Amino acid sequence: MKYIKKNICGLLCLLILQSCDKSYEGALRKIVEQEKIPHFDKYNAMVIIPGSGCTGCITQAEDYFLQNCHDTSTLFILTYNLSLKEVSLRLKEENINKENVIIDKSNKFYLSRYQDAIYPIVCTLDKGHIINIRKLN
Amino acid sequence: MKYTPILFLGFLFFSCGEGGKIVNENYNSREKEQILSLINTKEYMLDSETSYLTNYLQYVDIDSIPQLCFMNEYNNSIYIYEENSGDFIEKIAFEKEGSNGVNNLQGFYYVNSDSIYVYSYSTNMLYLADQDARVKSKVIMYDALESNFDQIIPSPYLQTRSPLKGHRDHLYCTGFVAGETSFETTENRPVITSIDTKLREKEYFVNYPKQYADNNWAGGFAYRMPYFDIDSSSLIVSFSADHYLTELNLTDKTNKYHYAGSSKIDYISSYPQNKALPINEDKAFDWYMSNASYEGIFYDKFRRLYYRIARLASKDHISGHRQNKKPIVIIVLDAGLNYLGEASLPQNTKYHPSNCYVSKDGFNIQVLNDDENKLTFHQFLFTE
Repeated sequence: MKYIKKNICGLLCLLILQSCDKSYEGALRKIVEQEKIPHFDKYNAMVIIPGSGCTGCITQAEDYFLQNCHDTSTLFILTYNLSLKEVSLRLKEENINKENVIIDKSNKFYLSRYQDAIYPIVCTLDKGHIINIRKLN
Repeated sequence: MKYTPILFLGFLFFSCGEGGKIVNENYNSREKEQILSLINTKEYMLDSETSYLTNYLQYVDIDSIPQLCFMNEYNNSIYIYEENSGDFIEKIAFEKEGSNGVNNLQGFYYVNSDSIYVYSYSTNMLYLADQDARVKSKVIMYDALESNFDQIIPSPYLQTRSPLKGHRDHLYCTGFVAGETSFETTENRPVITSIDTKLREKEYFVNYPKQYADNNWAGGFAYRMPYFDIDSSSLIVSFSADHYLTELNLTDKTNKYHYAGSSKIDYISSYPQNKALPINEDKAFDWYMSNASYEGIFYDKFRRLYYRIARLASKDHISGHRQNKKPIVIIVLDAGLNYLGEASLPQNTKYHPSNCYVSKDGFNIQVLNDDENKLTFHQFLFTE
């Protein structure tokens, strides 16, 4: 009985570890690490806005972008956009060309394997590390 | 605890009564492929202020010259190009506020330089303006307070495939009010709003087919938005969940129904949930992607044909994702709305079937390619 309990515990631990590795959060941390975003450690927050997905949530996130893109402590990543010209018309060219805005043309930050990818994502950062990940839905 | 099995059974019966399958009587029986030949690519150069993702375009003869007009929502303008050469002619910029203000443009109907009807969805106002964007008159097209359970009035929504169009001295458009209700019948939820060209009196025509009253269609654009076109004497409506087309005779206002299904569609399933329950947007999109549907209907006055767009269920849809990659089929019908055949569009080309128009040379379907400074169309011709 003790042996079975021990094995079940082990299996559960393995499952939990495996699911962590396969979570949206895990995948996002990995891509941020891989991409080596310049001056990443100077930002306090990172907002990822997909071009399509949860329509209402994206509209709200884009409104937030228009009001706050001048805040240099926040990094904005605009990803998964069908038309870059349309993005620059909608969010204004002078805004999307700011230093703290990344246009993710190759959609690396759109983690299509995960359903969370359709929502805008807000990450709290501290000295180049992701402290907290939250989706806007 | 002893009531649990009864509750469970009750839930089962409740669930069973909710789904509906709209079966296609001619599934897999009358397909004729390769009836459309790609004959040309049409291109229109765009300025720096215009996106190729326009929602509204109209092909019109202006002074006997075929022209393509389309809308730029970012600068509230109508752009006019010569259709044959693709050359830019002019831009009509509308003000949003003031005595000539039209708010945000959603669509328009260009009659001539003296009469351009423009519509604002945000205010539900239809304006009659001229080439200099001066407003001559206006009317409210939708007032929620006029709706009741005897008649759920449609809120007009304009797109290329659900345009504002004229016939004799009346204008027509389609629309709907989002949502599902068990109060819907086959007689109280019309989709067409008609108004005389002097903008005085409105009338409503063509109710949703029976399957809409009987089943849940998730209340949104995917299945509730009706599409239409007008030929010489009738208005033809294409409902997303109907293998038939509804013909409204514009003289006596009677309805007729014509089978116009794709032989590649076996059935269309309604949303498997009771109408009274709230819709989960993500689940509804997954359901739409895994389900067949119909879209726009376009009349070809040059060849006296109709083209109806059908969308097949997507096999590679990832749950939760919002890109519409449903395969596209074009059904071709003759002047009497009899089936002539159908053609599948290649899936390796990014077609945008929301934007189609018929010209003297053929049926034009927008293509989204890497060059965002061009509005591009593939031109097809029917070949028997």
